[in-house]
Amino acid sequence: MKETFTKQVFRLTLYIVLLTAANNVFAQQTVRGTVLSEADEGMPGVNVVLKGTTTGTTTDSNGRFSISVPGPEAVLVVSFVGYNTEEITVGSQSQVDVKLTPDIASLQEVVVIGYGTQRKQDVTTAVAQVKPDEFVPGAVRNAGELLRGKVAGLTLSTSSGDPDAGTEILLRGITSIYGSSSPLVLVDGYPGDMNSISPNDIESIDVLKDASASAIYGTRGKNGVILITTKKAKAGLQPTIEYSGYVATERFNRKAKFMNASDVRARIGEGLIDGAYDKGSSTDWLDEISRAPINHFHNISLRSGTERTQYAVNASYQLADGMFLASDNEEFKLRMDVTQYLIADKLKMNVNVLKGLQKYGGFNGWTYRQALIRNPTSSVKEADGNWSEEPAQFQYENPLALIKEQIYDNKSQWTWLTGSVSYFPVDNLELKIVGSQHQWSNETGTYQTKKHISNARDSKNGVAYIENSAVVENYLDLTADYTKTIGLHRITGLLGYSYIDYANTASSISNFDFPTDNFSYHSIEQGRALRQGLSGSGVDSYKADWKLIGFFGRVGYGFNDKYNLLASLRYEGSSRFGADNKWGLFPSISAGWTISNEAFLSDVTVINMLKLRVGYGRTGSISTDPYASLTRYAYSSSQFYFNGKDWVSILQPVANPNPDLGWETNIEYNFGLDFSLLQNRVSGTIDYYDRTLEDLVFDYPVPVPPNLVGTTRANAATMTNRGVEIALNIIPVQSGKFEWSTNFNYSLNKNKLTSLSNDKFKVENDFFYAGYTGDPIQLSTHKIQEGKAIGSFFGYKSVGLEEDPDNAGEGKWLVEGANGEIKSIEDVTEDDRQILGNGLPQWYLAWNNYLRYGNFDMSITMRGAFDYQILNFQRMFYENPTIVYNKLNSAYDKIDGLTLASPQSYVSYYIEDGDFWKIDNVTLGYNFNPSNSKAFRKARVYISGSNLATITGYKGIDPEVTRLGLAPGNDDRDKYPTTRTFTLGVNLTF
Amino acid sequence: MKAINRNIYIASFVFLSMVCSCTDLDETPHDVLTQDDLGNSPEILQALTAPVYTSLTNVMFGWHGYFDLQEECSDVIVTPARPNGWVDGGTYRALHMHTWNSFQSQPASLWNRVYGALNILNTSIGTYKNMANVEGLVAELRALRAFYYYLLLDNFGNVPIVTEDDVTKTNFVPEQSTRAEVFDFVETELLEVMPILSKEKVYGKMNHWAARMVLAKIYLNAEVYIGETMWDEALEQVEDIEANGGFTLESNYHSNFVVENESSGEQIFSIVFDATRSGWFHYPWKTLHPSSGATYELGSQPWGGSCAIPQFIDTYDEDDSRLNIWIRGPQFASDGSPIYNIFDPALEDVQLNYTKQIGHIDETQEYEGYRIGKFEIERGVAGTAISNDVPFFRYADALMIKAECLLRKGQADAAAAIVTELRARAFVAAPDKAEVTGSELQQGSKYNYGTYKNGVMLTTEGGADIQYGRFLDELGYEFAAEFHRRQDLIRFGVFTSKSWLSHIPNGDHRAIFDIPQSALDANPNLSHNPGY
Repeated sequence: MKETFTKQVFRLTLYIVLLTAANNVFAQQTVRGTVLSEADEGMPGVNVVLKGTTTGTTTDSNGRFSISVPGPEAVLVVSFVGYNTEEITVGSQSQVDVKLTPDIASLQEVVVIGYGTQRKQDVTTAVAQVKPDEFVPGAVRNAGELLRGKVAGLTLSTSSGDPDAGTEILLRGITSIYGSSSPLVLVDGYPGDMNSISPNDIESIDVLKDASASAIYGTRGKNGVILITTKKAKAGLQPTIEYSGYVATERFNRKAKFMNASDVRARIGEGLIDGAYDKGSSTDWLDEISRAPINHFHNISLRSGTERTQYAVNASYQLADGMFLASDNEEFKLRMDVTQYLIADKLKMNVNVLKGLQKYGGFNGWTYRQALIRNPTSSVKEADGNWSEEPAQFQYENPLALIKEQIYDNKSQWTWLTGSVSYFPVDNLELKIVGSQHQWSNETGTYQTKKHISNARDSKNGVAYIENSAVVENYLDLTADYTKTIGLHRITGLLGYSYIDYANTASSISNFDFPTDNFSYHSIEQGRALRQGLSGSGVDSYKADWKLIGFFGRVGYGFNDKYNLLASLRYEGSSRFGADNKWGLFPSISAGWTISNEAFLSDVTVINMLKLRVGYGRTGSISTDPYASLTRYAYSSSQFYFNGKDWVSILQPVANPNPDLGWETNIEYNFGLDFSLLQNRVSGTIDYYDRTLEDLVFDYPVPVPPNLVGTTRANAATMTNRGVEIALNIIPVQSGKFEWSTNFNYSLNKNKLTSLSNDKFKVENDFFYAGYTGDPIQLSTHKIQEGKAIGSFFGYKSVGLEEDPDNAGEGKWLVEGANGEIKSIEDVTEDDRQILGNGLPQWYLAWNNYLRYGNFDMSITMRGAFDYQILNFQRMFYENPTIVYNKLNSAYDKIDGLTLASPQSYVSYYIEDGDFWKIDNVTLGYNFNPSNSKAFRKARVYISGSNLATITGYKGIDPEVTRLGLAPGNDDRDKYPTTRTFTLGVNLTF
Repeated sequence: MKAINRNIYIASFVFLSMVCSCTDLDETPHDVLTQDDLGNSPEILQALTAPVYTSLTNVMFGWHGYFDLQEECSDVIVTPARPNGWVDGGTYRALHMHTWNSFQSQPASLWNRVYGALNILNTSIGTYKNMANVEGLVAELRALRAFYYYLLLDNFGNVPIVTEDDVTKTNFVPEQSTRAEVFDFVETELLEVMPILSKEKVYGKMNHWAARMVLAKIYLNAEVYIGETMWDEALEQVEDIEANGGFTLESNYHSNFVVENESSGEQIFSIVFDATRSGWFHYPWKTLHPSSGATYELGSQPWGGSCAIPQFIDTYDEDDSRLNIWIRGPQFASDGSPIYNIFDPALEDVQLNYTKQIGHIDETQEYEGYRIGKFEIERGVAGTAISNDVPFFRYADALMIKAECLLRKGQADAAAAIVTELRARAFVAAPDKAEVTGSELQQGSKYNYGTYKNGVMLTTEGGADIQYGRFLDELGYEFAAEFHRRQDLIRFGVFTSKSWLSHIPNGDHRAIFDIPQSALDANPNLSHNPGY
């Protein structure tokens, strides 16, 4: 069916294009003229039509036109999108100059609300819009970083310093147990991610925060929606070339203070470390694997538009070295967008192509860990030039050899092909069909040479791995959009159908024991392990697919710009849901009352705008993998059955059926107040929301037998998120030369897991454990319990050390037991564990400042997160003198006058307050006077610094740690440290 | 223009009608099978039934498997805290100290793996029962089911009995049975199928002889399970095996545990392992020090810590060659060069030397403790698994059951003759030491019970007061590291009454594990075992 559809679109397109070519004009008398804008500049692409006919022309690049008219009674209609249409009777003139004035109504600010836009003044839902001049400036890794601190309730953190790290996005709290809590990111209406397009290619980012706004996206709207709109050419835009570029460098924000060689020798001198530990060299291992990186970014765009044809091309290139060797990230993105109006503007066609390429390095946290824990007195290489390795040491590998002896190629590419046809059968009605295909593929190839630890220690003799994966998504959207103003009434309507299918395929090969290193991973069949069926070698392939089909509608009604109502409904089904629960209904309704437009407030000059909003909506999310509702049996890939003669395949049940499996639901009420005071010098938004998250997916324990496996995935848990968001914009100074505007964003969220059970699926315990310390402590870190917030740390509460009677001066942990008694950590039971804090910040605050003085501009972004704890893994593992690896300098600090003698333990001593206030970005720019140059129209240079300073009591590297998932606040010891970035950039418009 | 409009309308109509029919949301997986895909072909049925055997590899040596559960709560093997970890949230400590609760991982693993297999057994029995000419297969599966229930009977006692009849019931939630009911079920099932069960020895499969071993085991432990002794019944089973089974004792004890041990004449019921095709037999990695990888040319560094409890080692006669199941003394790489300690910088230049002495459960040195080397470690293994099969029941076990029954029935000398026969192959170098007498077997244990730390006895309980303690010692030598010890200690009354290493008794209810919390959570009909 897909192919048929594509063919149909193609045929129709061809048909329309051929027909349009058949235009004829008969000429009699010629009139010339120029169309000027309000700024007296020539306007290209303006339509000049002889009234009552289809005869017409468009202005050239200087705004000039020439048209043949039948006689002096002829009337020219001069029209242009966004401007008031002018009619001029030719009379005796042979030269007609026309000045167009902007149509105020059409210039009003709009927000993007999904399948359309809405005048800002009509907004009844919780929507926030961020425009490029508010984006976080300077070097950013992806579009997500543009929004840091800009939208109340939207928290974005990049807790890793890796150049290819993604941005964690959370809107109005954790919303799921197993599923994602991250909002849906749509680029021009289609799912993408923050890295899909160049940050410079963005016109606006709109955030649909509450369910009354996002319900139009049905089962994808539960966590909110971020709508990225790319830059398009506008009608009448002269060919414009813009270049933006920067060069940046990074430094570690903070380094973990591990012992260096002289620290070790000092400890040896104090008798704390055995002298044999000194291997005679002095190596700064972190230094060995890191560098002073240079990052480049170049973006060039060309946009041009006449009234009937508009196109935009944007190309960007980005290269970031990364602080660590082999952590480079290189990206190239190209997007082209062409719009053409046809058949007396009854038809609009648009083609949009996006191509993205990415290459990134294979640096991983393990290498970083090896650099931290390696003996600083050992050497990088032996005297004979070989890597110094100590293969007998457990999990102890030369970090530089890990990098240098591994080839790691990782390439992704994505291609989005989108075509749309809009048809306008009558005024105010748009029928639109959009077809799109998104392809994404990734190729990974790695090879560990014979000098790699995999051979030096494990005799693998060369290890190769190849993985290929691909995703193909097809989209079809049909919409009918109607807008009509009748007197004081304003009516909008939308009807639509949406179809998505998705297929993911992957395959991989691993092999080892190669005759030579020369082939890298390019002749993977040469490895002997695969032929011998050795463990660690193998082949694998995979496919999963799903479909999502939705019908939706929306109506809006506005009266006299005072009362606004918006209601939407989506009926949506997913193949991933159970047979008895394939379809769901997602309604929303919201209303707004613009009080300031009422007569009784018309005399109150202090109030420019005051609006009350209230919204209700029901949204969903799909938190299950494909086929999750079906009884499934899988052939084992690792275990076979010896039937007495031979090894044969075995089939094992892997999942119980659940025909009721469905979406997770968010039922949300939102109350909002928008205001603007004192000649708009003070404006803001306050929102209160109440989210009830129902039908959350959890794996319920069920008895085996009769069930096939011990858990069944079902929708039964409930959670709530309640919170307040305040955005406040103030313009304290607005004089000719000096302007200062400032903006505060505050958000508070209270999360509670109300219940894990419903009538059908129950848990006997009202809790489960999450998070994991890892090897060798091997304990869960969090407890998730009914009635409590997600994110609670759960472990032993340490109260001090108890002196070891056999070893004076040394002590082991004393912890508080279940009944408040103090006991040795060696005598604890699981019952002695208790809640030790929570890893999710309770509230966030951001403070943005924009200053302009003459040609200088400056922006300062500061933000913080408050009232939460962090489990400092680095201290937990390395602030301990009993371990044999290199450790933190603080490992020998006395606790209660004693030296710690307990093995690595998960106790509250390592849980710290995470509260922080960051000077996130400071940028200073200078704008050149455009009149001084004929070469460019605008020019700006800037310097920018990111992550400049952090005020915090947290002892780890960066208090901004992961907040997603069920174990927020775990500051992973292997995490790529965050960096401080300095950028020098330029923006030029030609 | 009108023509165009009409065309567009037609085209739009065609689109919409196509689209509206496109609301089919059925799913077809590509790399798994659904219930509908299965069908009834012999290949599929064999593949569906096969996990009833392959599960045994996971039961035994899956992480926190049966081996750990039986050995680490006993007086033979311990996994103490090591410089390289092994605290693991206290899970090994809880086994050693008998402080486990319903959350303990090892019993839960056993429960889940066994009931997973039982589920498949019930489904398969239900399928095959309605087919012609498969009586032998149904009997084999029923006997195997009884074997799995025997594991539950021994470890949990009060468990739900679920059979093929329950599988088809709607909304069926299993009821908990008493230990006596489970005992009856195992006995009845085995007696019923015994006449039909094949006596042919198909390697790795349940047959007549293996079923008799299960019966012998439940009768041997009947006093523990149901409060009455059944020595005669146990004797009857093992004597039948002895007379009619055609099994022979290996002349070399260790040949039961070599890589290619399938040819051993002692194998009654074996779990078939393979380094690349079965569940992983990872035990060498769990016991060996990382440096020992060089001794066996292992492709993956061991991460071990499990070792022998010194008090048990002390009970051995120094000439008993079965002592060689423990890896001990100075260690060398395969080329004969010494290998070294790695965790303590002060010991980095000191050769790794596995000592008998260990610290205590919460602290040991990296070199401390004899490591478990009962199963031969193949040189040059690539992954973290070896290919030795694991004899769950071997002929020596049948003979020792016979000896124990005779001993307990007052025929100590006859018992001693059997024990002597088994000892003879262990004392080839000192044959005069092989013989034991009936009166010796009636003596107490040589095991010096009491708490121990760093080579020093903190308390002394001794083993002289243990009835037939000397026979218990013999069971120890023969079956050390063969997942026997917990059951034997319980039967000899030692498990919940004596101290060893850091362990002190912690209640008689410890003789069975609690019902795992995950099972209690899943099934409201289940309750904790008594005492928990």
